[in-house]
Amino acid sequence: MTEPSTVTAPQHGQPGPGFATPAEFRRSVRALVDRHPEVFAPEAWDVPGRVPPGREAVALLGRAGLLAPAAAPVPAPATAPVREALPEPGRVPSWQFTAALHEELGLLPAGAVVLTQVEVAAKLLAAFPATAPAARQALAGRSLAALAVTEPGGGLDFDAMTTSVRRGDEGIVVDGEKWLSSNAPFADELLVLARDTAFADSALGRHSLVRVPVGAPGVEVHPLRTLGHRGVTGRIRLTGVRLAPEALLGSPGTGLLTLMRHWVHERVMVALRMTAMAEGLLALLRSAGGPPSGYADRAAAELFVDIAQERASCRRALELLGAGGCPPRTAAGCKLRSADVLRRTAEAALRVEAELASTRPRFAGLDPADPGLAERALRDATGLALAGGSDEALLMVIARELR
Amino acid sequence: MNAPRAAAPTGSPVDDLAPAGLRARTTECLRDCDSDRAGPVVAALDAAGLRFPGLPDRVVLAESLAAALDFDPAAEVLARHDRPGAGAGLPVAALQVAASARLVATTGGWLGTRHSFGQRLIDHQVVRFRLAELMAYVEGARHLVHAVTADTAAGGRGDGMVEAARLQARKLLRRTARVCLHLHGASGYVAGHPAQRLLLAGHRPADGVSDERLLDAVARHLRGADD
Repeated sequence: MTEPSTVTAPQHGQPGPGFATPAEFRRSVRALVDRHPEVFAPEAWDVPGRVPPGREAVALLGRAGLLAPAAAPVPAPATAPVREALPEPGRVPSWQFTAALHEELGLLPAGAVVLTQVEVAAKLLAAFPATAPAARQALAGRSLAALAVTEPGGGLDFDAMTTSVRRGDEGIVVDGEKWLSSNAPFADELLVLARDTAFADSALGRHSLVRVPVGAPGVEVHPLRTLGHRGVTGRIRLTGVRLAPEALLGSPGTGLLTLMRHWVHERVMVALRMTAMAEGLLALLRSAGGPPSGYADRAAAELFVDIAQERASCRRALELLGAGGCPPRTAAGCKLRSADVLRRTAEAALRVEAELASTRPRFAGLDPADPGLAERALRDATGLALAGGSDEALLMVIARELR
Repeated sequence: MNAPRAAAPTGSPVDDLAPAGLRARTTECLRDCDSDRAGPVVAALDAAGLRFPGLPDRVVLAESLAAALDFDPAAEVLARHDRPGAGAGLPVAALQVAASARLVATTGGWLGTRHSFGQRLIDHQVVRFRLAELMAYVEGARHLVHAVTADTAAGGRGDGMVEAARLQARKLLRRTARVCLHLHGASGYVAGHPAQRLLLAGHRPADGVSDERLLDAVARHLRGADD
């Protein structure tokens, strides 16, 4: 496929031009990735002192029209019966493109950046008519956005949130500090969850989402040193950031509600990525070769079975998401299990990688100086297990079904 | 085995179920069955040559059978009417998953009636988390069994996936039974209790194939794909 120089961004959630089938779409993603090793090869990431090429990865994929087809469609109203919302027979559901993109990026570090751009930033922007054009820009790879929720003092403890938005003379003012914000180091704008002082006494919602341009006075963004996802996670300081009232995303006071709905989507997508990473690691394990061994073969088979389950489950959850009816427990379960299987697969791959590193300098095509795909995956898996809620938060979601 | 055994085959699985007293309960369960999940499981039953004219809608038999927790006779009937081929073993796998789901639900209900340290057992977070984890794995296994069933019904060759689904369903049943027996305390240990019956059933493959053989089959597929 020839890489187009300019592409009109397709509508959110609609298959892009020239991709009749997920298989064709998948081949196009793979071809683009292969043509740009300077951006997508793992060696280009995690280089000390250098910002990872996250912007470049999103720009390449977006301009080639490879992000929009994968973006999950805006859900139908929650009250719509699932069956009514299912696609017509013969039409390829967009979730198959979603799976194709994230599975194809698999173990590549760029996959995390793309996931955040497509499934978090663009997804949130697409949820509101006023910001739908911005979502299309994001899917065209022309701008990057990052969600900023977590604070140094708390994760899911929203009552402890200190970042605030208040009404000023001519608009709104945002103050506070965020961290563990994916893509923040190279984002153009931040989607900040803040305690809204206008709703301090509201029983329904006290938080608002605010679009904050990174270039606005009072905004500082720095990379945060973390175990995994190095260079793509940011720390943000907001000091008296003055913005127009239109910077409020959606109805004021409903930010947390918006995010709670969004987390169902995000958890499925994180699970999809973790499963894709586990599949990549299993391929790495199998590429180690060697004579048939009962133990090694069975160990790989056990992992294959668990990964197959998560693949099937993620696809079912994607299907339900596309139909607007994925239960929170299903999303939570997907993420809970896929985090476990990724961790176990990464640990197995790391053991094999360590054993082979001394005898095969370029095991699986890796330079020994590089941390290696297995180690990187294990580090990233630790962070992914926290993204969108820890295991315990997920269990609490599932346990709500118990009476 | 404490549950009543099904009669010898008569040519109709429904008739086979009648002596075990399952048909009425199966029909009753249909009222609550999730039609969204019906397709793949029906496909599994169809693939195995099981058809049930005269029953309402199309039957989610394997899942419905589990509602009664009469696992052994149901598994026996399903295994007996299973057909060798691409989807063999999947109806029993569906039954194992559904039996696990049912056991988790009944255990949750029972824990809601018991108290310790001033509150219901089900309200202790440690207990809730154990059940929630089981619920998550029940759903995952169900998705796998349904996906593989749909694939084989559509002509897929399996490539180790059928064995994977069967393995996962068995592992789930054992794990669920072990945890739920424990959560039931002494009563779960008493002969005839559904938890201990399912624990034993989980270790006694209805189709006579061990986990290791299934795992080896998956491994062979992996090796074949690599070569």
